[in-house]
Amino acid sequence: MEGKTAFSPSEVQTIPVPHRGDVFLGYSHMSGDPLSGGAASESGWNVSAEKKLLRYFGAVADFSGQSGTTTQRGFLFGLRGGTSIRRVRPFAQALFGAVQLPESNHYASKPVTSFAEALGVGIDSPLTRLLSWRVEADNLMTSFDGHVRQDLRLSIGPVLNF
Amino acid sequence: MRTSVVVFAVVLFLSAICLGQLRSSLCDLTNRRLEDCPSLNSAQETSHSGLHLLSSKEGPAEASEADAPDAAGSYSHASSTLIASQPNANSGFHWRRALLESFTFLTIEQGYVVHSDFFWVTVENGVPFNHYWRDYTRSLSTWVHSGWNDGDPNWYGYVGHPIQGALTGFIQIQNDPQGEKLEFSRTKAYWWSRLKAGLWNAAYSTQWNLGPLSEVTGEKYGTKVRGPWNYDGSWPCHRHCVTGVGQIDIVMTPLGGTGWLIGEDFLDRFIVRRVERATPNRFLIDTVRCALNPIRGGANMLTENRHGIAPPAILEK
Repeated sequence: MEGKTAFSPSEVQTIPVPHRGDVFLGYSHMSGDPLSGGAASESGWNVSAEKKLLRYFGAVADFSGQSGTTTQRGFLFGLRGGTSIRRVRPFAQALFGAVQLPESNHYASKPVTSFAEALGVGIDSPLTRLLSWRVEADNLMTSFDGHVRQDLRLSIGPVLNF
Repeated sequence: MRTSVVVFAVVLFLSAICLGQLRSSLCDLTNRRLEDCPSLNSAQETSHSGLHLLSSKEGPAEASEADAPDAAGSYSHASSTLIASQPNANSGFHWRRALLESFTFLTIEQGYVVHSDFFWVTVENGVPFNHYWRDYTRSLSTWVHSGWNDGDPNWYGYVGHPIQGALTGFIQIQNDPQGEKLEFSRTKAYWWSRLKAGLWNAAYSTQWNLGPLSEVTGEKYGTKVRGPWNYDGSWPCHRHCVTGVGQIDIVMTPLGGTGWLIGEDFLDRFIVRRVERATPNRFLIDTVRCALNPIRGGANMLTENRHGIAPPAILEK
């Protein structure tokens, strides 16, 4: 038989990346003012897990810890929406929870906890079928001692898709 | 209240990417007319009795004639142009999916509102919902005595909130097998379906405005700690004070939203369907559908993935 195949070469060379959910583990950098070199900044880790609930939306649990001029830990839960556009998966998320300053800090000599909200965007780029690389930025809002604080949290690292 | 702004932004965002949501996109690779698309035809075959669907066999000329009202003002349902499909007795309303989709929409809205009013959310010692019952009853009392106007610009109440209502109405429709495939028509089934959508819309709207997870409980509107202000937003209030709560939203959201929804149904039947039959151009079809049915497209983005997996990214070898 001549010529006709079931799949074109371009189709044969593509692999669909599953996305029922994912787990992310990465480095995170927190800064109150990223455009100012003198601004206080903290570095640490960020772990999050997502479980798809709807076609484009999933539930997210996000935990992070940073230390530098001060130390803080975040426990956030919420919603992430995203879709795959060819090779990459851009997403946006809204997370609610708490941020804790576990040690003596600017606001008190004892640990304090604040309600927190993070609105963020990010993008996943697949490396292999189950592994992607994530770059994420979140605007983290907290309120300590009556003062609303906004921080930019940047996270980067590998994502395990399942 | 910035509800309308966030609804408008969310819907615009959702509808902007709804091209990929349209059922016609399933047929794009085949480059065939929509009426020849198996996925569309199979969808029609699974709809319910009493629903009048445009047949996939008609051409543009026949369709125009079939759609024209007769002397009595009713629309002809010739067998060549309309089909009554088989009933599906096992399909009831998808409560779990509808509630999940509505809660997702609520989370998106609250995400923006909490961000923009973070100070008021945390005004009670930094704890959201602090002094919940005390402030809630105070807010409800303020609402009862607030009158019609809540202090928002008119387009918030008369455009933005109806958009919110239309979207939640479409959530009800897309989870109701009895109404999902119905087109605009003068049939009892259609209007009963849209009445149910209006009731879902009213329930969501009431929750959003006055419910336990509403603007008043989250942002402390109408409480002692968030007192009235002037129309121009200045403090303290001298006369013609507004409190952020008013009866406009609780009335206009269900009424205006249902009207908007029916308007999209009307445009879908009399313009979008005709374009679909008249051209095989996918881009034109999808553009017309998104332009004339933006809120339906936005609600469609919230649907559950019925195949168990989201559209995957493609990794090229």
